Amino acid sequence: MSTTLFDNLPYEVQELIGNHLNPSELATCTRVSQAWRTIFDPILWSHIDLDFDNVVKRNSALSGALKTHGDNIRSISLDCPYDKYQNPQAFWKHCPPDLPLLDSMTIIGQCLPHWKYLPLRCPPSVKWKKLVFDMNNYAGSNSYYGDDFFNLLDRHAPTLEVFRIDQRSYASGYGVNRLLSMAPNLRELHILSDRREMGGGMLDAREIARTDWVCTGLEVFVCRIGNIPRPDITRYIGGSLSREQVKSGTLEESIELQRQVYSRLARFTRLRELRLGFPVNSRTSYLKHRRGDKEKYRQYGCLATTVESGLDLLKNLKELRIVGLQDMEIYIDGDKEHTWFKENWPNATIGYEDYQTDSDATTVSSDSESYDSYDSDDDINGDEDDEGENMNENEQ
Amino acid sequence: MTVILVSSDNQDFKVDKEVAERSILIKNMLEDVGESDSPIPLPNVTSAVLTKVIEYCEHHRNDPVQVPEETDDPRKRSNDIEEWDMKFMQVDQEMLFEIILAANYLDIKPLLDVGCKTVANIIKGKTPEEIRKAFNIVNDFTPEEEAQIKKENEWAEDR
Repeated sequence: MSTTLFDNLPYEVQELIGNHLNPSELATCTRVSQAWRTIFDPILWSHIDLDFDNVVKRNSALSGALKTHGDNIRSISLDCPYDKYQNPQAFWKHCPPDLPLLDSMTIIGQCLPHWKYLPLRCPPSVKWKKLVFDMNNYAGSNSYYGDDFFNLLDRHAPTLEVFRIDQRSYASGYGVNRLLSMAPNLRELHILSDRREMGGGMLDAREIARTDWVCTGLEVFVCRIGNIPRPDITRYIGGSLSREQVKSGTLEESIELQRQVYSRLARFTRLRELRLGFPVNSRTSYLKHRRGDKEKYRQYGCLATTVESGLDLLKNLKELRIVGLQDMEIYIDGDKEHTWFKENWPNATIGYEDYQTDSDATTVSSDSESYDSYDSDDDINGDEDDEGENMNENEQ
Repeated sequence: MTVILVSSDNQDFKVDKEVAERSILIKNMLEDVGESDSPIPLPNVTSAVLTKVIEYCEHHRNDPVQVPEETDDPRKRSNDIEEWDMKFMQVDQEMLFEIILAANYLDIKPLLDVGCKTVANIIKGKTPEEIRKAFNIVNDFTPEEEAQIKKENEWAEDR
């Protein structure tokens, strides 16, 4: 008997079955019979997870298959090498010129910074919906997502839905703000840049006040917002008033600017996740959790997230589940804000650390736990981690 | 209120409307027809299969309407099957495929989903040869072809 009951199922049902199998199981299925190969190859090749070296240097069968299956490919995850002799563009030469379904790409690996341009130099017909950069560069080879990067991204702004940049990078706040004003379909924004000495990944509140954000369907907003005058900061660090870390201005100017920022955020009524500050992990980040560094890289020119500063403007964000306010100079003064959070965001978990106890190791550990989704294998006691020594020169 | 379903071998099944409406196909038919006692013919479903499908719908009559899980990567969905469904699906392979076909035709998404998961679980953890045995399939590849496919799809191993 050459036909089986399985082969007689309608293709959409076979596809549903294939959706419950992982890539390795699907690959096994392609070797069962000619008929099964016809069924499972397109499912297997819809989401591919490749190694750059494998495609470009070693496996000619794979590179041939890429050409054959170009019509099926929806998303590519590419593991890229730390190799200055490789031209990232070589990857596209192994793909067919037409990739009609491709709209999602993830770059992973410890590759050099210029590899981030690989997805943006894609064939002209490709329009990205999802771009994820998880390059995890070595210290000293951090990616700078500057204006040239965001200029190239412009072409994809109309279609882009998910955009994520890893921690060891700096992103131009100007570029991120421009993306928010150009990408009407954006649902998730994750700017995890922690290289704050360059203003990395921080949106400028004054620029926000000048622009119009078009992505009204945003569900995830993970990005710092800074450059707000904060004359209300009264705390001293190492003998100097930490207010000196922020732009000067009056309390009225501060509140006015904060209200403008809150009112922009308030338009994201579908927001599930709002992280304006987040703990920086010593293992995956360039920064260390030593007390001095933490104080130095703390956010000072941030939203105060107090009722006085205009928090009430955000009361309609009823979908919020996760709020991250760690590492920010916020003056949540106990009852008033906590009551507000309970009343207005009943389903949200609010992550923050009290500035008075941030030398306390337990605070660090609870933060790390609440940030598990980004740092799954973190080591909260990794203070003596030998990465990023050159950040220590100003340690007190 | 009850409705009468007629299987392909002309057997009548009297079921509660609420149960029958687990099938989106029947639900839409009833809405189109309005109040009517006329039996609903299901020419694609045998009485043996319809008996099983009705058993499933009876058990799940009070389930909330399923909201399909929206994930970008369908492979992240779980393969867990609840205990009653697992027992329900312990049938021979022919019946399993018949149930899947009926669920697809009658548009009963949760049943279709359970059926597909059951088939996927048969495939999981098996070698190509074991899969051929399980589904009674003849290997029509030459050894060279099989080696070539293995090399093309090597990237997917261990993923």
